[in-house]
Amino acid sequence: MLQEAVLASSNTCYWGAYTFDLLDTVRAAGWLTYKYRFILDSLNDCVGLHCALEMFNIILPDSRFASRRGYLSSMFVTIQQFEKTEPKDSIYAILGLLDKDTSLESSHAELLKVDYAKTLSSVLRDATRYSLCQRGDLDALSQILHRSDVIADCQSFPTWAIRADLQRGAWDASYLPSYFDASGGLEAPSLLDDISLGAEVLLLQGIVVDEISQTTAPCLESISHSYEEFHEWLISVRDIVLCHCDVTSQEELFPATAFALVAGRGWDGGRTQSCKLQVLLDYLKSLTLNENDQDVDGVTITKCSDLANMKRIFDTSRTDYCIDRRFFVTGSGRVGIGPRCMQPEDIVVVLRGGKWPFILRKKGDGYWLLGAAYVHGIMDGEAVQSHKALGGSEEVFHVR
Amino acid sequence: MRLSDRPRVLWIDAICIDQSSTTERSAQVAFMATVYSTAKHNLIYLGEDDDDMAEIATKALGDVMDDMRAATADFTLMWQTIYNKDTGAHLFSNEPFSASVDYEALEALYNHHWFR
Repeated sequence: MLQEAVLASSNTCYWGAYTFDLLDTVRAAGWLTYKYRFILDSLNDCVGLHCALEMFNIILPDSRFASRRGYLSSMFVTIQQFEKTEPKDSIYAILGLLDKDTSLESSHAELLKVDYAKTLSSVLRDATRYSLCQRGDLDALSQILHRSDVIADCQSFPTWAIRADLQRGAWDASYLPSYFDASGGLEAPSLLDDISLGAEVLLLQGIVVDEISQTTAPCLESISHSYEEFHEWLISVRDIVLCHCDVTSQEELFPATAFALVAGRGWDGGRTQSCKLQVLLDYLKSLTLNENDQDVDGVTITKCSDLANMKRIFDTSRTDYCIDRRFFVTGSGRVGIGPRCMQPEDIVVVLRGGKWPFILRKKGDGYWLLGAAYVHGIMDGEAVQSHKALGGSEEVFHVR
Repeated sequence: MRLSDRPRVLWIDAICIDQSSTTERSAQVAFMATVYSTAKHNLIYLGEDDDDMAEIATKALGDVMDDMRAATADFTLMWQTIYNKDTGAHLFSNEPFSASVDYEALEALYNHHWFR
């Protein structure tokens, strides 16, 4: 259906005795979204409208967006909006939309060959490998954000295969901003197309940076929608931060925590600055003080003002990256947010071609890829520099 | 979809591809992009009008189009109105629709299975 809308020169919709141009319904989706403040909520929530909006975005002439059709990794984002009657069509039904000029040489093109006799797992696995080889970086892996229930399925799907067949929910964790460069200083990956250990094994090169020592419970959608529950969740954040720092490092760790909670992003979509996070920072610090107050008075006197402040936090900082993620502290005292399935002893790695650090879990003689993470202080290649300064070498991770 | 004055020949993907044969499906799906991009005209069957919504929805769609046309100089300013030119961020309007629009009918339109 996407292909029809985008590729055909004209499309007429038939509904009973009435006909209209498909282009009108696609443009209307763009306009209704533009004016979403004035339309019915139930229309706003309509999946078909969101899908029509994806079509609208794809037909955008602006080169910035048209590039979406250049890379399979960005088309994954589009197709996850749609329902699929045949899961393999999550890949096969969009091949015609990929710009031909960026197609890879024939050995890689074979990965995308339409073949319904292949299993779904191998279709997704090969498409993911294609998308990695096509860009020569790990951008596509930003879409790997395992929850505990999905990781249980790793028997049938490699953990690094993008589940383009699943429909994304409105409150699934949003993808981290793309302006980071955690692997700055490392070379480009050279083993993405290496299947010498089998097609299920992805060879990723990079360095181990850290180990997870403690995480909070995941910040579920319901938590983020309630001031009280988000307040409770922030207390759990505060607790594990305090648990892993002394009074002197506290001065640095609280600002780092504020950055981590917004994944370094400001309201304007660009990188945020400390001054913009003051409300959140003050709040985190006040949580610390409140406990001391309570110790003295034995009563909670600050609860109401907390809730008022909470509203200010929602108004001034984008904490939505926390949704569907966990907050964590590492062995070296770094803080960050990462995939829901992560747990203590998972490792933080920086990988060639990766804009973000990733969380891996040791499994047998290889690793599972759990997902990308925001780890404050190593988003711009700092970990690579200090690793090199210490004369450390790179490893090859066998990810299954 | 019948023409009033002459026969019409249609190729219909759901019917003309033997869905039970993986070999035929594989070959045909790989060929689909060529079919769509070279077809003179594509017809999309959304469904029957059992709830008598099609007429109201067609009118509502026209109302949205009129509003959009007026605000974007006949669609020529469509992209810069809806997206920030520099950042590509989606923009949102503070202007209500100039005429009333039947949103429920539009919901029925986008609820068609074809759109999902």
